[in-house]
Amino acid sequence: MATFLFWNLGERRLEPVLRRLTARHQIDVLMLAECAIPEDSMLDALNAEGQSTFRRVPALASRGLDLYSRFDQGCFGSVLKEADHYLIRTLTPPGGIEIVLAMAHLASPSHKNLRARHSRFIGFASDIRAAEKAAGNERTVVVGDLNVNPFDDALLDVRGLNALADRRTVQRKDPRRFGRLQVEEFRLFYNPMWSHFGDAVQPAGTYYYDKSNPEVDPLWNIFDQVLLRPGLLDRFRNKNLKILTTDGAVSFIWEDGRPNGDVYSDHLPIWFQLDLRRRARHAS
Amino acid sequence: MPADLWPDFQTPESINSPVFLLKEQAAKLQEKTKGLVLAGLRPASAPDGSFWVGFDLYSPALGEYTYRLFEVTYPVQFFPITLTSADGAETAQSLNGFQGALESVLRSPRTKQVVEAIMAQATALGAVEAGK
Repeated sequence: MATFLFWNLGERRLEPVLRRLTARHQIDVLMLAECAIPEDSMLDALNAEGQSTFRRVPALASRGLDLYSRFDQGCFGSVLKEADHYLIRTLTPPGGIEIVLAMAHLASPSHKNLRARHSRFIGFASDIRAAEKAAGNERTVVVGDLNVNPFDDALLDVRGLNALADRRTVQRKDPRRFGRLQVEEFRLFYNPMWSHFGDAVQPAGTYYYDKSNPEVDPLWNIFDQVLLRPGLLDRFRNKNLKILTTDGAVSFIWEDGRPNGDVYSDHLPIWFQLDLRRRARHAS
Repeated sequence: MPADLWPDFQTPESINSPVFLLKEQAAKLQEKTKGLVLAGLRPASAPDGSFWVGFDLYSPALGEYTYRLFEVTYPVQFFPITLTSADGAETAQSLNGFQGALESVLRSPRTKQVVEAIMAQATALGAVEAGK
Protein backbone atom coordinates (compact mmCIF):
# COMPACT_ATOMS: atom_id res chain seq x y z
CA MET A 1 0.00 0.00 0.00
CA ALA A 2 1.15 3.51 -0.79
CA THR A 3 -0.19 6.03 1.72
CA PHE A 4 -0.79 9.66 0.84
CA LEU A 5 -1.74 12.79 2.74
CA PHE A 6 -2.81 16.10 1.25
CA TRP A 7 -3.37 19.24 3.29
CA ASN A 8 -3.80 22.91 2.47
CA LEU A 9 -1.99 24.32 5.50
CA GLY A 10 -3.27 27.87 5.12
CA GLU A 11 0.33 29.01 5.73
CA ARG A 12 0.21 27.77 9.33
CA ARG A 13 3.33 26.44 11.00
CA LEU A 14 2.07 22.99 11.86
CA GLU A 15 5.30 21.00 12.07
CA PRO A 16 4.37 19.08 15.27
CA VAL A 17 1.02 18.14 13.77
CA LEU A 18 2.57 16.94 10.50
CA ARG A 19 5.11 14.91 12.48
CA ARG A 20 2.32 13.15 14.38
CA LEU A 21 0.15 12.67 11.28
CA THR A 22 2.92 11.17 9.15
CA ALA A 23 3.96 8.83 11.97
CA ARG A 24 0.41 7.79 12.94
CA HIS A 25 -0.70 7.08 9.37
CA GLN A 26 2.65 5.88 8.04
CA ILE A 27 2.48 8.44 5.27
CA ASP A 28 4.69 7.76 2.24
CA VAL A 29 3.85 10.86 0.20
CA LEU A 30 3.00 14.16 1.88
CA MET A 31 1.50 16.78 -0.43
CA LEU A 32 0.90 20.30 0.82
CA ALA A 33 -0.61 23.51 -0.45
CA GLU A 34 -0.08 26.98 1.02
CA CYS A 35 2.93 25.58 2.81
CA ALA A 36 5.03 28.25 4.53
CA ILE A 37 7.23 25.82 6.45
CA PRO A 38 10.93 26.05 5.50
CA GLU A 39 12.46 22.80 4.27
CA ASP A 40 14.89 22.42 7.20
CA SER A 41 12.19 22.85 9.78
CA MET A 42 9.87 20.45 7.97
CA LEU A 43 12.52 17.75 7.63
CA ASP A 44 13.49 18.11 11.31
CA ALA A 45 9.86 17.52 12.23
CA LEU A 46 9.14 14.68 9.80
CA ASN A 47 12.33 12.81 10.62
CA ALA A 48 12.15 13.39 14.39
CA GLU A 49 11.06 9.80 15.01
CA GLY A 50 14.34 8.69 13.45
CA GLN A 51 12.80 5.80 11.55
CA SER A 52 12.04 6.60 7.94
CA THR A 53 13.74 9.41 6.18
CA PHE A 54 11.58 11.97 4.49
CA ARG A 55 13.06 13.98 1.67
CA ARG A 56 11.75 16.97 -0.16
CA VAL A 57 10.87 16.37 -3.77
CA PRO A 58 11.06 19.60 -5.75
CA ALA A 59 7.50 20.76 -6.40
CA LEU A 60 6.00 24.09 -7.29
CA ALA A 61 7.02 27.29 -5.60
CA SER A 62 3.85 29.10 -6.56
CA ARG A 63 0.74 28.36 -4.53
CA GLY A 64 2.99 26.87 -1.82
CA LEU A 65 2.70 23.40 -3.30
CA ASP A 66 5.19 21.18 -1.53
CA LEU A 67 6.00 17.49 -1.67
CA TYR A 68 7.83 15.32 0.87
CA SER A 69 8.22 11.58 0.62
CA ARG A 70 9.75 8.55 2.26
CA PHE A 71 10.21 7.13 -1.22
CA ASP A 72 13.55 7.61 -2.87
CA GLN A 73 13.70 10.65 -5.10
CA GLY A 74 14.27 8.29 -8.05
CA CYS A 75 10.66 7.05 -7.61
CA PHE A 76 9.45 10.41 -8.89
CA GLY A 77 9.80 10.87 -12.62
CA SER A 78 10.58 14.12 -14.33
CA VAL A 79 7.91 16.79 -14.46
CA LEU A 80 5.54 16.10 -17.36
CA LYS A 81 3.51 19.27 -17.12
CA GLU A 82 3.82 22.34 -14.98
CA ALA A 83 1.61 25.38 -14.74
CA ASP A 84 1.03 28.12 -12.19
CA HIS A 85 -1.47 26.00 -10.31
CA TYR A 86 -0.47 22.38 -10.86
CA LEU A 87 2.35 19.98 -11.39
CA ILE A 88 2.10 16.58 -13.11
CA ARG A 89 4.75 13.88 -12.82
CA THR A 90 5.02 10.11 -12.59
CA LEU A 91 5.47 8.18 -9.36
CA THR A 92 6.67 4.59 -9.17
CA PRO A 93 6.79 3.34 -5.56
CA PRO A 94 9.38 0.66 -4.72
CA GLY A 95 8.05 -2.65 -6.09
CA GLY A 96 5.06 -0.86 -7.50
CA ILE A 97 3.51 0.27 -10.74
CA GLU A 98 3.91 3.69 -12.30
CA ILE A 99 1.13 6.20 -11.83
CA VAL A 100 0.65 9.76 -13.03
CA LEU A 101 0.37 12.13 -10.07
CA ALA A 102 -1.22 15.53 -10.63
CA MET A 103 -0.90 17.86 -7.65
CA ALA A 104 -2.98 20.99 -7.81
CA HIS A 105 -3.98 24.11 -5.98
CA LEU A 106 -6.29 25.84 -8.40
CA ALA A 107 -7.45 29.45 -8.39
CA SER A 108 -9.38 30.56 -5.33
CA PRO A 109 -12.99 31.83 -5.41
CA SER A 110 -11.70 35.03 -3.83
CA HIS A 111 -9.65 35.74 -6.97
CA LYS A 112 -11.58 34.11 -9.82
CA ASN A 113 -15.29 33.64 -10.31
CA LEU A 114 -16.75 30.20 -11.00
CA ARG A 115 -16.74 30.64 -14.80
CA ALA A 116 -13.08 31.65 -14.80
CA ARG A 117 -12.20 28.70 -12.58
CA HIS A 118 -14.17 26.40 -14.89
CA SER A 119 -12.15 27.69 -17.84
CA ARG A 120 -8.88 26.83 -16.05
CA PHE A 121 -10.08 23.23 -15.69
CA ILE A 122 -10.30 22.81 -19.45
CA GLY A 123 -6.58 23.52 -19.69
CA PHE A 124 -5.82 21.37 -16.66
CA ALA A 125 -7.71 18.41 -18.14
CA SER A 126 -5.93 18.86 -21.45
CA ASP A 127 -2.53 18.87 -19.70
CA ILE A 128 -3.46 15.71 -17.78
CA ARG A 129 -4.25 13.94 -21.06
CA ALA A 130 -0.97 15.14 -22.57
CA ALA A 131 0.93 13.94 -19.50
CA GLU A 132 -0.76 10.53 -19.67
CA LYS A 133 0.24 10.25 -23.30
CA ALA A 134 3.84 11.21 -22.49
CA ALA A 135 3.98 8.76 -19.56
CA GLY A 136 2.35 5.99 -21.59
CA ASN A 137 -0.16 5.13 -18.85
CA GLU A 138 -3.56 6.34 -17.72
CA ARG A 139 -3.32 5.41 -14.06
CA THR A 140 -3.76 8.99 -12.96
CA VAL A 141 -4.47 10.45 -9.54
CA VAL A 142 -5.43 14.09 -9.17
CA VAL A 143 -4.90 15.43 -5.66
CA GLY A 144 -5.27 18.89 -4.31
CA ASP A 145 -7.28 21.91 -3.36
CA LEU A 146 -9.29 22.31 -6.56
CA ASN A 147 -11.30 25.26 -5.24
CA VAL A 148 -14.49 23.95 -6.81
CA ASN A 149 -16.95 21.42 -5.44
CA PRO A 150 -17.54 17.95 -6.94
CA PHE A 151 -20.93 19.18 -8.17
CA ASP A 152 -19.54 22.23 -9.97
CA ASP A 153 -19.45 22.23 -13.78
CA ALA A 154 -15.65 22.31 -13.86
CA LEU A 155 -15.59 18.79 -12.47
CA LEU A 156 -18.58 17.44 -14.36
CA ASP A 157 -17.89 18.94 -17.79
CA VAL A 158 -16.56 16.25 -20.15
CA ARG A 159 -13.96 18.78 -21.32
CA GLY A 160 -13.13 19.53 -17.70
CA LEU A 161 -12.16 16.78 -15.30
CA ASN A 162 -15.24 14.69 -16.14
CA ALA A 163 -15.38 13.21 -12.64
CA LEU A 164 -18.39 11.18 -11.52
CA ALA A 165 -19.58 9.95 -8.15
CA ASP A 166 -20.19 6.25 -8.85
CA ARG A 167 -17.32 3.92 -9.67
CA ARG A 168 -19.45 1.37 -11.55
CA THR A 169 -20.84 4.11 -13.77
CA VAL A 170 -17.33 5.36 -14.40
CA GLN A 171 -16.19 1.87 -15.37
CA ARG A 172 -19.20 1.34 -17.61
CA LYS A 173 -19.23 4.73 -19.32
CA ASP A 174 -15.49 5.34 -19.75
CA PRO A 175 -14.71 6.90 -22.17
CA ARG A 176 -17.77 9.01 -22.80
CA ARG A 177 -18.40 9.46 -26.52
CA PHE A 178 -20.19 12.34 -28.22
CA GLY A 179 -20.93 12.98 -31.89
CA ARG A 180 -21.91 10.79 -34.85
CA LEU A 181 -19.70 11.76 -37.75
CA GLN A 182 -16.88 13.08 -35.64
CA VAL A 183 -16.86 11.08 -32.44
CA GLU A 184 -15.15 12.75 -29.50
CA GLU A 185 -13.99 10.66 -26.56
CA PHE A 186 -13.56 11.90 -23.02
CA ARG A 187 -11.86 9.86 -20.31
CA LEU A 188 -13.62 9.84 -16.98
CA PHE A 189 -12.39 10.19 -13.44
CA TYR A 190 -13.99 8.63 -10.39
CA ASN A 191 -14.52 11.18 -7.63
CA PRO A 192 -14.84 9.41 -4.25
CA MET A 193 -15.26 12.74 -2.46
CA TRP A 194 -18.98 12.80 -3.24
CA SER A 195 -19.45 10.20 -0.51
CA HIS A 196 -18.03 12.62 2.06
CA PHE A 197 -20.71 15.29 1.81
CA GLY A 198 -23.31 15.71 4.52
CA ASP A 199 -23.36 14.69 8.13
CA ALA A 200 -23.81 10.92 7.89
CA VAL A 201 -20.05 10.65 8.32
CA GLN A 202 -18.25 13.51 10.04
CA PRO A 203 -16.87 15.94 9.03
CA ALA A 204 -19.38 17.36 6.52
CA GLY A 205 -16.66 18.53 4.10
CA THR A 206 -13.07 19.72 4.01
CA TYR A 207 -13.67 23.45 4.10
CA TYR A 208 -16.32 25.70 5.65
CA TYR A 209 -16.81 29.24 4.43
CA ASP A 210 -19.44 31.63 5.73
CA LYS A 211 -18.32 35.15 4.96
CA SER A 212 -19.48 36.23 1.55
CA ASN A 213 -23.12 35.40 2.36
CA PRO A 214 -24.53 34.68 -1.12
CA GLU A 215 -28.09 33.41 -1.18
CA VAL A 216 -27.18 30.07 -2.73
CA ASP A 217 -24.32 28.63 -0.73
CA PRO A 218 -23.63 25.13 0.67
CA LEU A 219 -21.35 26.67 3.36
CA TRP A 220 -19.60 23.31 3.69
CA ASN A 221 -17.41 22.59 0.68
CA ILE A 222 -15.21 19.78 -0.54
CA PHE A 223 -12.56 21.74 -2.38
CA ASP A 224 -9.86 19.26 -1.37
CA GLN A 225 -10.23 16.20 -3.53
CA VAL A 226 -8.75 12.97 -4.83
CA LEU A 227 -9.78 11.81 -8.33
CA LEU A 228 -8.89 8.46 -9.88
CA ARG A 229 -8.83 7.17 -13.42
CA PRO A 230 -10.70 3.89 -14.01
CA GLY A 231 -7.36 2.06 -14.31
CA LEU A 232 -6.78 2.57 -10.59
CA LEU A 233 -10.20 1.63 -9.29
CA ASP A 234 -9.31 -1.98 -8.49
CA ARG A 235 -6.48 -0.57 -6.40
CA PHE A 236 -8.62 1.74 -4.29
CA ARG A 237 -11.23 1.03 -1.63
CA ASN A 238 -13.49 3.76 -0.35
CA LYS A 239 -12.68 2.94 3.26
CA ASN A 240 -9.12 3.96 2.41
CA LEU A 241 -9.96 7.63 2.03
CA LYS A 242 -10.71 9.80 5.02
CA ILE A 243 -10.99 13.46 5.85
CA LEU A 244 -8.97 13.75 9.05
CA THR A 245 -9.99 15.83 12.05
CA THR A 246 -7.23 14.86 14.49
CA ASP A 247 -3.65 13.68 14.64
CA GLY A 248 -4.38 11.67 17.78
CA ALA A 249 -3.19 14.44 20.09
CA VAL A 250 -5.06 17.56 18.99
CA SER A 251 -8.29 18.26 17.15
CA PHE A 252 -8.40 20.32 13.94
CA ILE A 253 -12.08 21.15 14.39
CA TRP A 254 -14.20 23.17 16.80
CA GLU A 255 -16.89 21.49 18.88
CA ASP A 256 -19.47 22.25 16.19
CA GLY A 257 -17.42 20.33 13.62
CA ARG A 258 -16.09 23.28 11.64
CA PRO A 259 -12.35 23.42 10.86
CA ASN A 260 -10.44 25.37 13.50
CA GLY A 261 -8.76 27.81 11.14
CA ASP A 262 -7.70 30.00 14.07
CA VAL A 263 -5.11 27.51 15.24
CA TYR A 264 -4.77 24.97 12.43
CA SER A 265 -5.90 25.33 8.83
CA ASP A 266 -9.30 26.34 7.52
CA HIS A 267 -9.03 23.20 5.36
CA LEU A 268 -8.99 19.64 6.67
CA PRO A 269 -6.43 17.08 5.48
CA ILE A 270 -7.21 14.07 3.31
CA TRP A 271 -5.60 10.68 3.88
CA PHE A 272 -5.82 7.94 1.27
CA GLN A 273 -4.20 4.69 0.27
CA LEU A 274 -3.68 3.00 -3.08
CA ASP A 275 -2.53 -0.56 -3.60
CA LEU A 276 0.20 0.10 -6.14
CA ARG A 277 2.00 -3.23 -5.73
CA ARG A 278 3.06 -4.90 -8.95
CA ARG A 279 0.88 -7.92 -9.53
CA ALA A 280 2.07 -11.23 -10.91
CA ARG A 281 0.76 -12.07 -14.38
CA HIS A 282 -0.63 -15.55 -14.76
CA ALA A 283 0.01 -17.31 -18.07
CA SER A 284 -3.11 -18.94 -19.46
CA MET B 1 -11.42 -1.10 49.57
CA PRO B 2 -8.75 0.07 47.12
CA ALA B 3 -6.17 2.49 48.47
CA ASP B 4 -6.45 6.11 47.34
CA LEU B 5 -3.00 6.92 45.99
CA TRP B 6 -3.90 10.43 44.90
CA PRO B 7 -3.08 13.55 46.94
CA ASP B 8 -5.80 15.99 48.04
CA PHE B 9 -6.46 18.55 45.31
CA GLN B 10 -7.16 22.27 45.65
CA THR B 11 -10.52 23.44 44.35
CA PRO B 12 -10.26 24.88 40.82
CA GLU B 13 -11.32 28.33 42.04
CA SER B 14 -8.45 28.50 44.51
CA ILE B 15 -5.86 27.97 41.78
CA ASN B 16 -4.70 31.23 40.28
CA SER B 17 -5.07 30.26 36.66
CA PRO B 18 -4.88 32.65 33.69
CA VAL B 19 -8.24 31.36 32.47
CA PHE B 20 -10.04 32.52 35.63
CA LEU B 21 -8.49 35.93 35.10
CA LEU B 22 -9.83 35.97 31.53
CA LYS B 23 -13.32 34.90 32.72
CA GLU B 24 -13.32 37.65 35.36
CA GLN B 25 -12.46 40.24 32.73
CA ALA B 26 -15.18 38.90 30.43
CA ALA B 27 -17.70 39.36 33.28
CA LYS B 28 -16.40 42.89 33.92
CA LEU B 29 -16.86 43.80 30.26
CA GLN B 30 -20.46 42.62 30.30
CA GLU B 31 -21.08 44.69 33.44
CA LYS B 32 -19.41 47.84 32.07
CA THR B 33 -21.21 47.71 28.70
CA LYS B 34 -24.56 46.75 30.26
CA GLY B 35 -24.60 43.55 28.26
CA LEU B 36 -24.11 45.24 24.87
CA VAL B 37 -20.66 43.71 24.39
CA LEU B 38 -19.77 40.25 25.65
CA ALA B 39 -16.51 38.36 25.65
CA GLY B 40 -16.33 34.66 24.92
CA LEU B 41 -13.45 32.29 25.59
CA ARG B 42 -12.82 29.85 22.76
CA PRO B 43 -10.62 26.95 23.86
CA ALA B 44 -8.68 24.54 21.65
CA SER B 45 -5.46 22.56 21.67
CA ALA B 46 -2.39 24.23 20.18
CA PRO B 47 -0.35 22.30 17.56
CA ASP B 48 2.24 21.31 20.18
CA GLY B 49 -0.48 19.96 22.50
CA SER B 50 -0.52 22.96 24.87
CA PHE B 51 -3.65 25.03 25.55
CA TRP B 52 -4.94 27.76 23.26
CA VAL B 53 -7.74 30.20 24.13
CA GLY B 54 -9.18 32.85 21.84
CA PHE B 55 -10.75 35.90 23.53
CA ASP B 56 -13.59 37.06 21.27
CA LEU B 57 -15.87 40.08 21.53
CA TYR B 58 -19.43 39.78 20.33
CA SER B 59 -22.87 41.24 20.84
CA PRO B 60 -26.25 39.49 20.97
CA ALA B 61 -27.54 42.24 18.65
CA LEU B 62 -24.97 41.49 15.94
CA GLY B 63 -25.70 37.86 15.18
CA GLU B 64 -22.66 35.73 14.42
CA TYR B 65 -20.26 38.68 14.33
CA THR B 66 -17.17 38.20 16.51
CA TYR B 67 -13.97 40.17 16.93
CA ARG B 68 -10.85 38.32 18.07
CA LEU B 69 -9.25 40.66 20.58
CA PHE B 70 -6.34 38.38 21.45
CA GLU B 71 -5.37 34.78 21.97
CA VAL B 72 -3.26 33.05 24.59
CA THR B 73 -1.27 29.84 24.51
CA TYR B 74 0.15 28.14 27.58
CA PRO B 75 1.32 24.74 28.77
CA VAL B 76 -0.54 22.64 31.33
CA GLN B 77 1.54 24.28 34.10
CA PHE B 78 0.14 27.67 32.90
CA PHE B 79 3.52 29.36 32.40
CA PRO B 80 5.16 30.63 30.26
CA ILE B 81 1.97 32.06 28.77
CA THR B 82 1.98 33.99 25.50
CA LEU B 83 -0.61 36.63 24.71
CA THR B 84 -0.91 37.53 21.03
CA SER B 85 -2.91 40.54 19.86
CA ALA B 86 -2.87 42.83 16.83
CA ASP B 87 -0.06 44.73 18.54
CA GLY B 88 2.20 41.68 18.81
CA ALA B 89 3.01 38.88 21.21
CA GLU B 90 4.11 39.07 24.84
CA THR B 91 5.20 36.16 27.00
CA ALA B 92 4.76 36.18 30.79
CA GLN B 93 6.32 33.83 33.32
CA SER B 94 3.88 34.48 36.17
CA LEU B 95 0.28 35.45 36.84
CA ASN B 96 1.36 38.99 37.76
CA GLY B 97 3.25 39.31 34.50
CA PHE B 98 0.27 38.00 32.58
CA GLN B 99 -2.06 40.41 34.35
CA GLY B 100 0.17 43.30 33.25
CA ALA B 101 0.21 42.12 29.63
CA LEU B 102 -3.55 41.64 29.69
CA GLU B 103 -4.15 45.07 31.17
CA SER B 104 -2.09 46.75 28.45
CA VAL B 105 -4.21 45.05 25.76
CA LEU B 106 -7.57 45.73 27.46
CA ARG B 107 -6.67 49.39 28.10
CA SER B 108 -5.20 50.00 24.65
CA PRO B 109 -6.78 52.69 22.42
CA ARG B 110 -7.54 49.99 19.85
CA THR B 111 -9.57 47.88 22.32
CA LYS B 112 -11.44 50.94 23.53
CA GLN B 113 -12.28 51.89 19.96
CA VAL B 114 -13.44 48.38 19.07
CA VAL B 115 -15.66 48.00 22.15
CA GLU B 116 -17.22 51.42 21.58
CA ALA B 117 -17.83 50.61 17.92
CA ILE B 118 -19.56 47.32 18.79
CA MET B 119 -21.66 49.12 21.41
CA ALA B 120 -22.70 51.77 18.87
CA GLN B 121 -23.49 49.17 16.25
CA ALA B 122 -25.46 47.04 18.70
CA THR B 123 -27.40 50.05 19.97
CA ALA B 124 -28.27 51.22 16.44
CA LEU B 125 -29.34 47.80 15.29
CA GLY B 126 -31.26 47.22 18.52
CA ALA B 127 -33.16 50.46 17.82
CA VAL B 128 -33.97 49.31 14.30
CA GLU B 129 -35.20 46.01 15.72
CA ALA B 130 -37.38 47.83 18.30
CA GLY B 131 -38.82 50.21 15.68
CA LYS B 132 -39.90 47.47 13.29
